[in-house]
This record gives sequence, C-alpha cells and structure tokens, in this order.
Amino acid sequence: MTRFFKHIPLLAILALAFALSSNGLALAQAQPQLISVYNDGELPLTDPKSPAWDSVPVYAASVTPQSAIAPTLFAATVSSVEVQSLNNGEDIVFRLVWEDASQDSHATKPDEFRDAAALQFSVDDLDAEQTQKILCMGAAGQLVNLWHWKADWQWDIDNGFRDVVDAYPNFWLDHYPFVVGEPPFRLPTDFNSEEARAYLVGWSVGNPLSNPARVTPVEDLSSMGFGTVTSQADQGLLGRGVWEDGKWYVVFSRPLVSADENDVQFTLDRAFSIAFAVWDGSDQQVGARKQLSTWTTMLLETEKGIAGPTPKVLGMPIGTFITIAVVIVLVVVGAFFFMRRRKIA
Amino acid sequence: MPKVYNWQIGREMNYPYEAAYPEKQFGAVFDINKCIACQTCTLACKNAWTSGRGQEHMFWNNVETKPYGSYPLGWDVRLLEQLGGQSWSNGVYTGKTIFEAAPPGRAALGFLPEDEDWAHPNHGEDEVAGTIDRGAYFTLPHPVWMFYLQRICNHCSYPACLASCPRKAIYKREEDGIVLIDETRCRGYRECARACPFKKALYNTVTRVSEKCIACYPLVEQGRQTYCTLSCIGRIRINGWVHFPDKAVLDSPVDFLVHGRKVALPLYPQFGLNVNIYYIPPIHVPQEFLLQMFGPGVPNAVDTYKRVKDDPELLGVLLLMGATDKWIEKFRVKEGFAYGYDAKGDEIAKVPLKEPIYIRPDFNAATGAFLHNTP
Ligand code: SF4
Ligand code: SF4
Repeated sequence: MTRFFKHIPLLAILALAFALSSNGLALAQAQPQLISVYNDGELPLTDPKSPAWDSVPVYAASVTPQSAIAPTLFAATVSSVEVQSLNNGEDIVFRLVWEDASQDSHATKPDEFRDAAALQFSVDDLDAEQTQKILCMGAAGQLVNLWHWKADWQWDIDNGFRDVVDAYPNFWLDHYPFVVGEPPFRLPTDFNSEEARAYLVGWSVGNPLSNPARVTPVEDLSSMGFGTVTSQADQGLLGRGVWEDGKWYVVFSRPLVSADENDVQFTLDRAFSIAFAVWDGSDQQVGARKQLSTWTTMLLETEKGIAGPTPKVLGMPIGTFITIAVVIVLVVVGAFFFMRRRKIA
Repeated sequence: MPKVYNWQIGREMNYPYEAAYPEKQFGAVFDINKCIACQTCTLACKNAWTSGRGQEHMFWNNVETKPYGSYPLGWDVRLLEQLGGQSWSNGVYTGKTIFEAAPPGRAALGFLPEDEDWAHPNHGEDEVAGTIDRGAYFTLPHPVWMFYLQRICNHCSYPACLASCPRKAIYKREEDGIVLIDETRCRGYRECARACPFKKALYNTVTRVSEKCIACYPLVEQGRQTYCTLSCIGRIRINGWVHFPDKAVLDSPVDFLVHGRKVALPLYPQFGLNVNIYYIPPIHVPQEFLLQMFGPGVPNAVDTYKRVKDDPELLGVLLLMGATDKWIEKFRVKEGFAYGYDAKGDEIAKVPLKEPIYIRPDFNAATGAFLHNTP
C-alpha cells in the first residue's frame, strides 16, 4: 500500500501527460483541412473564374466511387476535387475545380446525363465519430444539407431553357393541348397556363427538377439517409459553373446564416463537417452513381483569426480539463504529503 | 435478399423487397390472334396521356410486329442476349431471372436504350419472318409468319422499375396493384428505365423526370376499363382483376382465361417480374418462337384456343372483350349468351355466342330487282 502511495505523484503526472498527449492526438485529427479564408470585401459569389481565387489555399479532396448502396459506381472517372472557400463575415462561397474531359450540360435526351457537383454539410455540430456514421446522405434524425449544382440548370440559365427543339433541330409538332403561340413553341412561355402545365406533370406537381423557369443552378436539399434527399421549400443558394479546357470551375454561395433550420448555419462557435461529390454525365453518372469524398473539417477564418469550437479533452473543454487536472494533482500531492506526515508521526 | 414466390416461373426467386401483395391486382388479357395493328389503342393512349411537350417519343401503349419490330429498338432481344440461356424443366424455370442475374451493386440486369432507339416505333412493321418460296402455301403454323404484339406496362407483381429506384419514388397501389411513379419525388435518375425489361418507364425530355403507364387509374377507380382496351377496334382486350393461381376467381374473365383455361400467358415470364398483362398466343406462329416469349404454357394455350368453338364459356369470355367500357367483375354464359356483371352484380354486357343470321331473298318482287352486289 505504502509503496503504491509513493508512486502517486508520478502516476498523476503520467496520467496528465497521457491525457494531454491524447488531447494532442485528437487535436491533430481534428486539424481543419479546409479553411474558409476571410476576405474583407466583395466575394466572387457567382464567379468561378475570378482572380480572387488565385490566392486562396486549395484543399485537394480525393473522391472515390460510391459503393455503399445500389446502384453503385463501378469505376471512377474523377479522382480528386480542388476545394477553396472564402467568407467576408456575411457570405460564404466555395469553389470546386475538377477535371472532366467532356462538358455534359444536357439532360434532355433519354440517354443524356448532366455533369454535377455537390457539397454536403452536417447540419448539427457532431463529433468526428458521429459524423462518420452519417457520411452517406445523413441518417435518421441526423440532417445533412446538400448544395447540388447541375450543369443542365446552368445551361438553361446561361442560354435559355433547353427545349426539345434545341435537342432535336429538325423537330416539328404543330399542336399541344392548351399551348399558345406558334410552332415550334417554347418552354416555359407558351405552356405557362395551368391547363397546359397539366400535360407537363412534373412541372404541374411542383417538382423542382421539372420547372423550366430556372432561377439558380444550385439546388438546396436536405437528406436524412439514402433515398431521402428532398428539395428544400426555401431555395437560397447562388452559384455558377464554367467548363474550360477540360475542367469544371463551380462556385456555390450563401449568406453565412440563414433563416431556414434545415440549413447548415455558419456560426463562429463550431467546426463544420463537409464532404464533396461529383458526377460525370458522359459516364451516365447520376444519383447514387457518383464519386464522393470522406468528411473533412472546415473552419471559418474571421478578421481575428480562425474561429471554431474550444478544443476538447476527454469530452470537456480544455479549460475545464486543465482546472480539473490541476485540482487532481494538488489533491494527490496533498494526500501524498499527508500520508507521509502520518507515517513520520 | 428476400425470397418471393413467382408462380409464372414455378419457383421462389430473389427480389430486393419482401413480397407484399395489393388487395386487388389490375390485369388484362390481349388476344394476339385478333389484333389488326390499327394502332387505335396507341393513339387513344397518346391522346389521353402523352400528348404533352417532352412526351413526343413516348408510347405507353405500342403495337409492334414480331419478329422484327420492337420499340424501343431491340428492347427484348438485347435483354435476352444479356440474360443468356433460359431453360425450363417441367414448368419450372431453371435459368436466372433479371434479379438473379443482376451484377453486384444493381437491383436487376438491364440496359438503358439509346436516344435513337426511341425514334422508330414502327420499325419492322408488317415484315414477315422470312422470304416466301415459290409454290408456298399455308400450313398451320405458317412457314413464313408475323404477328402483332401489343404492349403496355405490366403492372408487375415484382416490378423491376420499383426495385431499382434508389429513391423509392415508385410504388404499387394497395387498392389495385397499379405501379406508379411519384412525379413529385422522381429525380430523373432513369434507374427504372434501365431496369424495366419492357422499357415502359420512360424519360420525359422536358420535365427531366420519368413517367410511365398509369393503367388509366382514374378510369379504373370508376369501374371502367382502360382507354387502350375500350378503344380497341379488334376487340382483342379485356381488363380484370388477376390473382395468383391459389386464389383464382374463375368466374372473373381474366382469371378464367389465365387460370381456368390457361389460354392467356405472361410475356417473358423468365424475366421474373410476375407480369399482369396476359397474351393469348398467335396460333399460326411456330412454337419455338412462342415458347421463348410466353413460356411452357404455349402448347396448351394454342390447343385450347383452337377448340374454342366447342367451349361456350371460353367463347363467351372472348366475345365479352370490347363489349362494354365498364370493368367486368364476373361473367356467366347461359342459353347462348355471355353476360358481364359489375361489382354490384348488375348486368353491364350481353353478347350472343352466335350472331343471328338473316337471309335476304336475292330477288325483290316489289321492285322486280335482283339484290346482289355484283355490278
Ligand atoms: S386497337 Fe386493338 S386491334 Fe388495333 S392495334 Fe390496338 S390492340 Fe390491335
Ligand atoms: S412493366 Fe416495367 S414499368 Fe411496368 S411495372 Fe413492370 S417493371 Fe415497372
């Protein structure tokens, strides 16, 4: 017994050292891999080719074929995505750049698939272990927020809705129910009555994929597990994609804080779990047939430096931990001297 | 993977979901022998459901000429080739269904047709199987043959479209087994279009989501038959509830033809979907071809059909085809007439088994004129 007490100070110091070193380990693991760089002033919210991007550090995310659920992607055609982010205390913008030899901006013909890219955020502030469990599209009770940019929506915005007459130049049909105007007709204008829309069912029932009057190329979605991805009622994302010399340059942006509880809120007290996915239309990648990354931690930079959560040790904020550790050491050392004194006495 | 029983292949098979059967199952019988390929059904369907922008290439109902016709191009031969050998032993299919032959990470074996494949709905129309030699004459089966195949969605008991949709945007209605795509949830992935062996889930080119045959459910809900059935010039079609053999209701027309007389057969039962549209095979076509298309029930079906003149009940049901636009729940044949009844038991159709013959004298004494049609 006495022999044991003799070693107490040493044990206490070792325990503290271990806790601190495991803390060090945890801190290393939680090292932010993507920093949203603070940039006072105008952000390139819809400009993927702005010179502002040149000086922003790049985080290279590797992406691999989705293999957790059918339909899987058999082989990757994209292996990594370069990610950058900027914020100005008001808005946040991300840029994704990846190599894709073919620009697939259409999903009009039955065998045409669009190129696309997405960001995924955990809405709740989860620890690393909890986050790993919800990698794929969230989980029951664990909401993820997805920002999905689509090359065909981008095309529609840049060039006008790609209608059948654009996809099939020799196309002619001289009548549709309740159409107005003259053949060959145009969407949405010539079909924009309730009666005419009844024959464009996806549109008439409010499916956002089917609305030819596009406002943004980036869809704001929520998901709580495979197959549950749902377009949000509140669409607040901006963005733009440009294909140049075998590469897509795509930006996604939003105010840091939004009024929608289904959105991730970029507040200063936390870190963010973020993941990336890309689809290659020429390989008929769509839905679950995609390349995706693992989660990455992202921190916001502010005027004052990197913001984020207080580091934690053994599940408690580091300040609390140090206070407790100091108290333990004092108590143990006190006890040691007390025992010794009793022994002497 | 769950096991389900597929009576059309005489055995259990793998299917991504547990079996769940509707209260009633929508079905139909098409008598191939009577079809004239007028395409009235195709146009009735087109006018009703697919006359919108983005649906130009869509025929939820199409009629193609076999052996060469197919819409979309090669829908069946391409899958048959992928599936490899398909053997039967004593009424049990010993090959693989499209679910069992699915590559890893897929719900079913299949392919997505190319854009051009939709462009030739009447490809091969009225083309016969071979060349006619000099001095040829008709025998049964015909040495040189063709027939028309009428196709709509089969509202399958084990739908591949539903099985393959990762969003579960496709569902089978509990009240009538009709398979529908939820147009609010579809995201245009086209997994259904890939997996449906009959290619009856189609992509809308402007709404950018998929659509499919809805079995005219607004009519079915009102106790009426589908537009393709009620518009059929050849009166080759009849709608009705269809059951698994152990639950067959033999005084209901479709069950009677399928389970009672076994004269109506599933299309490509080996695919494993337990389809609900049945065909009376064409009796003039060599059976090797028919066996591949309709399974081992072909010889019996052809024999039974050939003897229809001695089978008043069978004759009665065949004559009730096209006799009413209402949904026939039950039928009865008595005293030279076939009767159809609705769900309340009210008579909704009555047809004579034999049309009365009126013989008109060829000389009209009143006018002194001979009545004949020779100029
Ligand atoms: S309407 Fe009847 S006869 Fe004409 S093509 Fe269709 S199924 Fe055949
Ligand atoms: S025929 Fe095709 S679309 Fe129709 S239920 Fe069967 S698998 Fe689905």
